[in-house]
Amino acid sequence: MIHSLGVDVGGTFTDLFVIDKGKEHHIKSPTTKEDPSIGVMNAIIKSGIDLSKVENVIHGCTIATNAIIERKYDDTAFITTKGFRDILEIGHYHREELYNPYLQKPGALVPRKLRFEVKERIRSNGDILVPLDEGEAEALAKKIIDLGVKNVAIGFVNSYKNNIHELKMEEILRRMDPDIMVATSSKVLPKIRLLGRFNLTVINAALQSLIGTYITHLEKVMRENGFRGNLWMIQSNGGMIRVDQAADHSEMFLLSGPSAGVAATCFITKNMGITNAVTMDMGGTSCDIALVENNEPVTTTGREIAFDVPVPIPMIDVTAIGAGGGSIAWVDRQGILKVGPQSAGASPGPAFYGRKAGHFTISDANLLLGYIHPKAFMAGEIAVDKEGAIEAAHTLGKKMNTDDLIKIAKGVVTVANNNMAHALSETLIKKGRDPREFTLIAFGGAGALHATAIARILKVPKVVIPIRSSVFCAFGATLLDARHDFYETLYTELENLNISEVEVAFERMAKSGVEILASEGFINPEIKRFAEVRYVGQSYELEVPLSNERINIDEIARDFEELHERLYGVKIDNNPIAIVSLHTRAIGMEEVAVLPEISKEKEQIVKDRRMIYLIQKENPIEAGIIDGMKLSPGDMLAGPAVVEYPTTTILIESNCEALVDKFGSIVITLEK
Amino acid sequence: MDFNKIDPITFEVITSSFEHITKIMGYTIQKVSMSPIIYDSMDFSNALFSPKCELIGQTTNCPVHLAAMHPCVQSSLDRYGIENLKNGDVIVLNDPYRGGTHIPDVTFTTPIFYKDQLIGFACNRGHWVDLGGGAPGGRMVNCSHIVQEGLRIPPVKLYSEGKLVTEIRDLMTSNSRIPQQVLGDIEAHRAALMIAKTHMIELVEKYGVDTLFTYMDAALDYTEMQSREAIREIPDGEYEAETYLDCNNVDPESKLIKAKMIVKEDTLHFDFTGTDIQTRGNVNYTAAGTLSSIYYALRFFIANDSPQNGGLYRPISAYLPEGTLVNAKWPACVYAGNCQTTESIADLVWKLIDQAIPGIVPGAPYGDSNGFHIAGVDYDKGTSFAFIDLPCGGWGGFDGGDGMNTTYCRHGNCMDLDIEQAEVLYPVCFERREFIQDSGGPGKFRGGLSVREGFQFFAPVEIAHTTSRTKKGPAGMSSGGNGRPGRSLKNFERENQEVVSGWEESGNWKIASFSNKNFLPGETWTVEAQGGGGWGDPKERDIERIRQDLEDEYISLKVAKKIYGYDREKADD
Repeated sequence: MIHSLGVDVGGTFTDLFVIDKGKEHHIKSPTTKEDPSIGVMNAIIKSGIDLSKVENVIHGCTIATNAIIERKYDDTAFITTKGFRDILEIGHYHREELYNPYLQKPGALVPRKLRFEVKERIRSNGDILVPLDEGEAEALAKKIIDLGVKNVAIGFVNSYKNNIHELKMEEILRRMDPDIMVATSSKVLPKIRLLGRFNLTVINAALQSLIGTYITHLEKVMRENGFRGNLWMIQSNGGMIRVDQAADHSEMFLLSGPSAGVAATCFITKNMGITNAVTMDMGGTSCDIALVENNEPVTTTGREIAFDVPVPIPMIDVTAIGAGGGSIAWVDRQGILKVGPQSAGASPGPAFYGRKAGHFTISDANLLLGYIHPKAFMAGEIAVDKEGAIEAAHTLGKKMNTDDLIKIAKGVVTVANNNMAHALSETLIKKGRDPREFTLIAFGGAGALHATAIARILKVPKVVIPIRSSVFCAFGATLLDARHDFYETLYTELENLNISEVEVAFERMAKSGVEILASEGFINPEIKRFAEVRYVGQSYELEVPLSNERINIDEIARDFEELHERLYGVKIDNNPIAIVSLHTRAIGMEEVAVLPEISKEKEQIVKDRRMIYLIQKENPIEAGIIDGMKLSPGDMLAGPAVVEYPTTTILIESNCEALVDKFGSIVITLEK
Repeated sequence: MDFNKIDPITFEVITSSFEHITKIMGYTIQKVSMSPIIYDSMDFSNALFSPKCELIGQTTNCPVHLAAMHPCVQSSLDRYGIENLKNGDVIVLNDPYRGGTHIPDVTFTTPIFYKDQLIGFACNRGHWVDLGGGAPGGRMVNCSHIVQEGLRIPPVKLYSEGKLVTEIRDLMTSNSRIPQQVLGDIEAHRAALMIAKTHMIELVEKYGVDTLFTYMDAALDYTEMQSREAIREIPDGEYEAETYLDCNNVDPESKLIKAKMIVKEDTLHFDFTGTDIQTRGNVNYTAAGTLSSIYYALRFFIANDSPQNGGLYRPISAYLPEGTLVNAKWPACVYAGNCQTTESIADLVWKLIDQAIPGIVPGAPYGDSNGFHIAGVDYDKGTSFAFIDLPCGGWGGFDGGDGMNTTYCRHGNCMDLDIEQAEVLYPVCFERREFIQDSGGPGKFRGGLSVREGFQFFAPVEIAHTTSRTKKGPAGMSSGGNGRPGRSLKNFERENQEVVSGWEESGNWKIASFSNKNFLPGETWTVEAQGGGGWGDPKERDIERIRQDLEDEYISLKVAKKIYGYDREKADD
């Protein structure tokens, strides 16, 4: 039997990772956007795996995110408290660009004609200020049903505190049309701050049928092909959920894909004994950055899935920046060199693809500097036209008053590295982290060429290029735990905390978690408890992990203040502290997977030597060219060196040492 | 710029670092702050200055801070003398007459030293909710002397060589209605300055002092070139325009602001001769504020993607007659200058641009911050509270699109007060936060809709509110109509409804802004913001757009027929 098979549907490729009888399969098959299940099946067929022998398939996809960003879902109605019909559109008041007189906003998730209000009002303490007008509610339900709208989101002000009116509205709708799909904000996320809660509820309502239909279809296709195991979906929180539980939680798939990559990183760091890591997934057009701490992905509840659309559920905190191998270099009117954010992508691609009037890209610079071998790019599947790159460099150089190709290429790489280093540092500092305490984990086609230079700028001491980086997300999918998050809002100052009440709330959430996990087949789940805490007067909370012992107020205060000081550099003495909400995470642990250690015969790894140009060195320098496929654990590589794999290339600068660890990952240590 | 000396790569690396540093200052201040107006509304800005006190990098969430931070650094220097500044000193000030804008905008400056050599200054400004004065937040409308607007802080060291001067801190906290927030904000400002310092020193360690200074100069020259190129595209000539403030917030008469714009090759000159003299009430504005207003208004149309530094402004000059609304002198009050006079100046600049290049300027946006303070004291508990929201209006329509609905105005980019959060913290209940139908100025491209926000109170409160464009509404452009004017009401939609400020159906008009107005438990107060101005003749509006507007109820059938000439029978054919 095969324990698990990971399949990740990306924008361009559907990746698959599976180990069968000790043999690893890394499959890339084109994504089929109209019906992604075709691409999934193509990848499975290409791998030659017998589906009937697979116990678990873990699946990640981008359909949820795409549907929300493109506003492509069935008509969804939104019912709210009288006076708040436009709250989704009003959003946070702000605009996306500071100085554009012709700016337009993308529009709310629900257009005004499908936004309705009903007379009712709950106070912040839960008291009923205005009772629900049931006659009005029934008339409204009828109106919505008559419009033929099948998805309805209900979000009432302060329903996180008292949801009696929301439940009544839901009941009326269901009574009048049993087939209608209703999402209720107090059930989707009983958390204070209505804008996030309401948007999330709309997303839940809008995507339920879309995700449900997709999952049902995929499962059916797989069953027809002999699959008898469990199908799991990757959630934005970095865990997985079995599909029969998934349809109600469609909002949990907004960042399904990148989650798995970060999970793979956690696995790698755990095996290697690294505590804190920042990941850099650099492909052709963009670079995704995320954090791992104590082998756990750093998640955020402060994310916007699109401008002014906050989704306050825990999601892997991924930041995307416009820097990839295809990013275009250009010179502004004053002669200053810029790189990106425009990308040549896969088409027309870098100038060395040889298409007419190609743009000079980061990849072209890497070619001219000798890092990319003309015959080894993408395992030789793509022919490299070096003349094309040279011509494009000259065009660029004219605007910089230079015809020194190497100077131009070095300039492009320098500016690109600097941009990425700034983005990485902003990502870390925004979260109050110091880059020097992190290891940089680089993957994606282009990451390994730039990682060392970026690490140097950020004073990051160590870089790891993990194995299986080309199908890293699919690989990560096979390593996930089942994971469910629960929240309850309770705004109270710490000194007034009713400990028994808190314990009861945690018990309640844990019970729900245990039940769901039991139905997914996990018997001894791990329960983690957190409190979201802030100084009275602040608006942002920090999530403080709690022990599973009885709640201790002093401990919470101490941990919060330590965390605050670590993240923001200060603690504020004698300021009262408040708990805003409680968070429980129930985790069904997969049997602890272990990275297989690699052992092979020592082979001649240096296959060639050639001249390369390093940024900080005036003259070219001879570097060993190493065949990555022949590396074995314990190999030491002294820079300067270039390690070539079929789909990626690693640059090891001079003054750096690289070690192949027992799992096959390459660990680069920068000089002090 | 001499290209023989400047390496275009090092240039890009160093100048983008300046921007990077100001960005991370912003993240830091936002996370640590205790004031909702900073952490939620994002009413703050961060900047770096060269040792010569030139602006080398800035991130503004509030365009109104564009030119108004440099004078703060300068007056801090003037006060202490460069030789008396020590590592770890932090100078605080808010005096509008020494580089500040209005009392609540508090600016912090720290010198940055590398091995005893001054390499620059880090500076940040945040809007504090309350520093005293005759009304919450200093939003005192019926006033004649700046002391009524709150604690005026001249340049003073709040930290001396890294050590907090507790006497100054205590002076600040004891003059605030919410001392706790003052403490948190001091920490937030300082944390941001410290992170800037660390990163500037790293930059020097990498490139050396001389290189850093060379590229500071180069960055300014570079931006200056971009600015000049953009100005050269405006046709040479003299253009004239005028605009009115509703009133000085004390007397009902409108106030005139007028200006001439002289475009000559790559320079721009503004002459505000003819503008009304300064007045009682709080609509006066300082020279630094007026310059900021001119700069941000221009920036919508010229060089809006160039780096933000002092070079941008070198080709732009202005004559601001002393003692007028646009260059007020002590002891004139200035609170609302920073939210309504600034926007009227921006309206004026946009009108001037429209004359130079007809058709490119949208209808006017709502033109204010519409800010209000709601405050109260719980005498039993001995506590007090005050909070702010900035209810937004619409933006103007433009050739090609309708204006944005309920979006923060040009001079800032502030965010909303969270409804549920506010209800936990304060004895109020939001009755509504919704669009006002038909509030967008009519046009081929309609102005955006404004918001109506209302509160019911559970305890006695005192309200202060400043607003404008309540007489005529934001102006339409290119034959577009004006947006709906703003106003506020007591007990909206109840039998005893009354207009508190602004226009009435009867044609009466009440002074737009007010302070010290008391509301009792059970009463409500509702503010109606201004709609954006329209662009182009409404009769030319596309039938599909009218239909869509009707479907979404952005406009009523009555307006569709009367203003847009919509004929349902004909449209159905």
